[in-house]
Amino acid sequence: MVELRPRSVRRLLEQLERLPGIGPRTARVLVEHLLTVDAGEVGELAEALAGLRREVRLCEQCFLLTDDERCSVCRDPSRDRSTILVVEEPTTAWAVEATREYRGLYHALLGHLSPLHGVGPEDLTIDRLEERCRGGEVRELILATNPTVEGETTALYIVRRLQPLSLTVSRPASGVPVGGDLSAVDQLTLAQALQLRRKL
Amino acid sequence: MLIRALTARSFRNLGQAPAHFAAGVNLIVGANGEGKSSLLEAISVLANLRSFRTVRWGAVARHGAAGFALLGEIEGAQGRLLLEQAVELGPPLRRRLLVNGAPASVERYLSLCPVASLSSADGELVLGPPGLRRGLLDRLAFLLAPSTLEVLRCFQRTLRQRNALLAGLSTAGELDAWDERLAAAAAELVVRRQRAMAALVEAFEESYQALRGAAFPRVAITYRGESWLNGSEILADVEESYRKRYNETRVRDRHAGHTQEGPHRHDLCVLAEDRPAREVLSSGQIKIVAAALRLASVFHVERERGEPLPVMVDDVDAELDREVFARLTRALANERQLLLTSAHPELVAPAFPEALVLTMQGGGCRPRAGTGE
Repeated sequence: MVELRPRSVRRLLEQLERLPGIGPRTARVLVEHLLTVDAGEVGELAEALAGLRREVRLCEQCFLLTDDERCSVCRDPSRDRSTILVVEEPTTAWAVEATREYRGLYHALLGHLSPLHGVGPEDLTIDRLEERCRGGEVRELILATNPTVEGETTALYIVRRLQPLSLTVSRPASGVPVGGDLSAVDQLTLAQALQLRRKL
Repeated sequence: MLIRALTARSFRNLGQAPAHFAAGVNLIVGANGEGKSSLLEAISVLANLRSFRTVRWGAVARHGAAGFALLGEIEGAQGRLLLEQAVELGPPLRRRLLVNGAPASVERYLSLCPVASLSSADGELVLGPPGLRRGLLDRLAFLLAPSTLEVLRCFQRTLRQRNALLAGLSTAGELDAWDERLAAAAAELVVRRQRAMAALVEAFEESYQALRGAAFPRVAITYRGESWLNGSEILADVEESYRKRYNETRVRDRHAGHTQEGPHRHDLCVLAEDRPAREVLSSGQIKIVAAALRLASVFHVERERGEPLPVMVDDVDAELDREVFARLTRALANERQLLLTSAHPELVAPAFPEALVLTMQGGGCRPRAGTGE
């Protein structure tokens, strides 16, 4: 068999296939697309990719992704500084922010506790979170770590560690999706939703 | 619930033509090596996502194949359903499950058509390590409440995390958090097992009574956990007991490098005349007790669901003497679908004059004319 794909195409295919969610077929479709569109458009994409790592950094206060030293939330004087919503990854905050329901600050832990992978409290930004909570302004903590074994345990660890500060600590409720059919919800989620039912 | 049809791709030596089954007794005959056991194994993998012969997925895929696929049609209270699964061996192993063409969760898929299988390996259920008996109990707990699968996964994951922490360096605060999570997960699992155990004890009395011969000793099953649990079934109490215990035994566990107490160490004890069954029973009797354990689970789940479930017996005549074979067929004979294999149809066929006889040859399966009508 003769290799028909030029070296530059093979190089791009290899790079694309290393990305999550992209298999050989999707990679080929993307390359075909890039070969047909305007060269300027491809240049913009290349610049965006290069700029991502060059310009993006972590907010020195809350560890969300930002182009500046502090993220737009930490810089915004209208945000409620008495509440911090804690997430594992900075990108989770994007989903929370999109709800437009939350007006407080954020804190990204940059992971979760996982002894199996050698990740302990010192590998996360928990020290920095504690410092922020000790600052005096913070009254409430919402622990929005993922509802997994590791996420739950990380939340539990933070609760215990910050107990002396007497903050109001909560976790987002887990339960049935809004507008869904109860019979289609998995049993464990439904059981938990019943356990955490609210009074009407 | 019935298995109507099965089509296999790259599964051991099975051919690609579909096999069709009757609602009553299906007697699968053929010389050794023609694919009888493989056909039952394929049904087990289709319905239960597990083989009764091996835990290695590489062993069930045809030699050199990158994976296998099974397509089956089942029929029950919910009407006819198409079950599909495609397994790529990887690594990592990937499994796609579809019900009527739509992706399905493992919980939903496994709940649809649980199939019981009795085979020559069943003696191990009594003689082998506790993990096999815990597996039987966990499976029953799952069939009674499918969320048990997630509870079990959560316990196993938390246990691995705590063990990793015990084996390395950790602060007390970190261990506190993992202890608390493990105590909660252990309690949830233990309470579910105890509920399943209560059902199994009752159903075992019935199934053992049906299979035992006149000279068989009295056999009882009990759940053995930590003695300090005192058999409590109240979730909050069990959780608190584990929390205290994990805290107390921390130094010892750290020294050992792993968690020494918990549901991963529990056992379903089989006692004959109040002594361990392996010390009292003959190897033949042990097979009967194992079959009674498997059937007890089937009987209870059938009552809960209000429908009979398929039962498979691999190499039915080789496993059991004539008298026990007669008792087993009596115990199973009603509306249930049976799938039996035998290399000696002349011994087995007379017991099932109505059976559909399927002949296996070279991995292919075809009905023998004039049977199963």
